[in-house]
Amino acid sequence: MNHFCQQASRLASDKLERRLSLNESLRLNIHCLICSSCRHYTAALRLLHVTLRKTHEAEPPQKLPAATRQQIIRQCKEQPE
Amino acid sequence: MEAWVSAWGDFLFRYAISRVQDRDIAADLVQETFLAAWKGRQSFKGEASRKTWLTGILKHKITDHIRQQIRRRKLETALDDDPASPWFQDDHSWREPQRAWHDSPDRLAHDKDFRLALDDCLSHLPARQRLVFILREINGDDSEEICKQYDISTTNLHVLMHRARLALRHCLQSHGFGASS
Repeated sequence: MNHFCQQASRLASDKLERRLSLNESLRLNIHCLICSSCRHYTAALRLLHVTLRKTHEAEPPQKLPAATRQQIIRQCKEQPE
Repeated sequence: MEAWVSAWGDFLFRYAISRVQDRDIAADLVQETFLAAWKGRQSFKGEASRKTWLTGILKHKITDHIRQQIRRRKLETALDDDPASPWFQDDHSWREPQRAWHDSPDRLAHDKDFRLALDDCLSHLPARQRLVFILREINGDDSEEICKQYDISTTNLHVLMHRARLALRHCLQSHGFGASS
């Protein structure tokens, strides 16, 4: 008998990308009630999803290196008018 | 030109870094963008803002760069591989039981060890998977725009995201994140 875990892992990911159909949503939720691995995996994806968005916001501002700035200005000045 | 670089240089640099994940390549792409914009400045019609115009040029440069990278590494077939097999048995059950991951997104987002582990795990993803995952999950870009820009279907996008998440979850666990039973 085939287990539903592989399909559930796909639905857990899709849930973060699109609205699941009622049928898909029910199958995932009912499966997670009886399968701790899929329950943990679904929760882990949700944690990762929220964390990654926050990671982006927490990034320190990056500045274009001074050498690149000077190079751009020099190269543009060398261009014919 | 000095005014352009000082007004939009940092913005374009940040935009490029978030997509190519490499400071040197990002700096090169920004440089090419300004040069192309300067050469084509007569064609700027002022319909869009200067910032939008420059970002549009940079987007093309980034797309070209990523396509070259994918071609060079011959990763076009990566989409057809089935990396689900390492995680599942023939009967579609998990090969290893999945563990609970109790942590807080706020704490993790500021944890340097997590950032290092994440960068390492992302660097091991196939190029296209990595790019799509970063754009969608980290930068929060719109699915439709990603599909259009990289010429993939919505279903392919979902497959790439699914595979990236499976690989990342297991890689992060091997770094000790969410490894408690």
